[in-house]
Amino acid sequence: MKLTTEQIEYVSIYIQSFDIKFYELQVELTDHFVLIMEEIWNEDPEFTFHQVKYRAEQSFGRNYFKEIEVERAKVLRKEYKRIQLKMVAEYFKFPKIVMSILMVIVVYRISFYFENLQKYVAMLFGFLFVFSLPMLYLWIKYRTIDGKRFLAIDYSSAYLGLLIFPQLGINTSNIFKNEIQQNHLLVFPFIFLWALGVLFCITGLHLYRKNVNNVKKQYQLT
Amino acid sequence: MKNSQLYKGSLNTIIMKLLEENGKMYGYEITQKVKVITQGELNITEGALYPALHKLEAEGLLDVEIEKVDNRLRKYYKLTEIGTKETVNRMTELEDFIRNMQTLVNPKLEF
Repeated sequence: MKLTTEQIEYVSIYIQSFDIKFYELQVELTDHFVLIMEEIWNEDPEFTFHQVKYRAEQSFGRNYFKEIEVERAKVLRKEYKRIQLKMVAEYFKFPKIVMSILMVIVVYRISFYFENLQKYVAMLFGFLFVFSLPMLYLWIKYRTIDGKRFLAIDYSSAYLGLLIFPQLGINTSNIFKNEIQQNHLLVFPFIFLWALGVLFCITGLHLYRKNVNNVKKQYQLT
Repeated sequence: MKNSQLYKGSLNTIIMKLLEENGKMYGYEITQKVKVITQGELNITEGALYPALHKLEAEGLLDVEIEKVDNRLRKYYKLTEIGTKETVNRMTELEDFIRNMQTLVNPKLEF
């Protein structure tokens, strides 16, 4: 026996009541639960809707709903980190390493035009913060698509992680203010950290856009 | 799942093999297919199936397709190109494992 649209809607709300916030899981778990219900109903058409729901609940196990969401979040977080690190590592291999080295050299050469090196370093990390703003914009824009939240997008947002670089750079350069001023070469570790921040920003932005487009394509959303 | 610990390590390979044979499948369909093939001996729980599917999807071995069926959306999984190649490797590994286990538990049997 097939469930009506209203009954399916009821099941969907029931699934959401287990704090399943993300649309892709709501869709998947609703469909699975409905199929279990339909199977039980086919076996015994005398059952009422709520009897069938109760039996399906026993078959599925109430604890599994949230557990599946938690597990998916873990998997996505781990995989996202792995992919991003792999992408960043590409910039330390030929041919992309040429671009990375050039970036570091150019930024280092520019430092000679500044008398206050600590201010230069702080400025670099300030630019990095500005550079990461598109990420914040995308993060706000795609927090929901058509009012729906997606775990696949939520966990590919690296914006908050990116803030570590400007904070770390500015704070540490403040601590070593005098040392940097006395020894110009000490600017290098900061430039390296800055370059790393830029790479995380570029790759994070790329991954995020890719995930958003993927979800939009899969669920035919605009 | 009977003796779930024994099957746990092979679940991903089982899913990939089923998808290789059947094209695209949805979660419930996979559980039912396994039940039918094993004549009810092996029952994959939802708590084991979905994390496995999500992991394979995140690793890029599975692709997802959403279709509207009976007034609701259904999420289908299918193997990607990399997934198809990986299935061959994992099946070889699993077959080797089964052969080794068979040799260990029954050394007189020859293959």
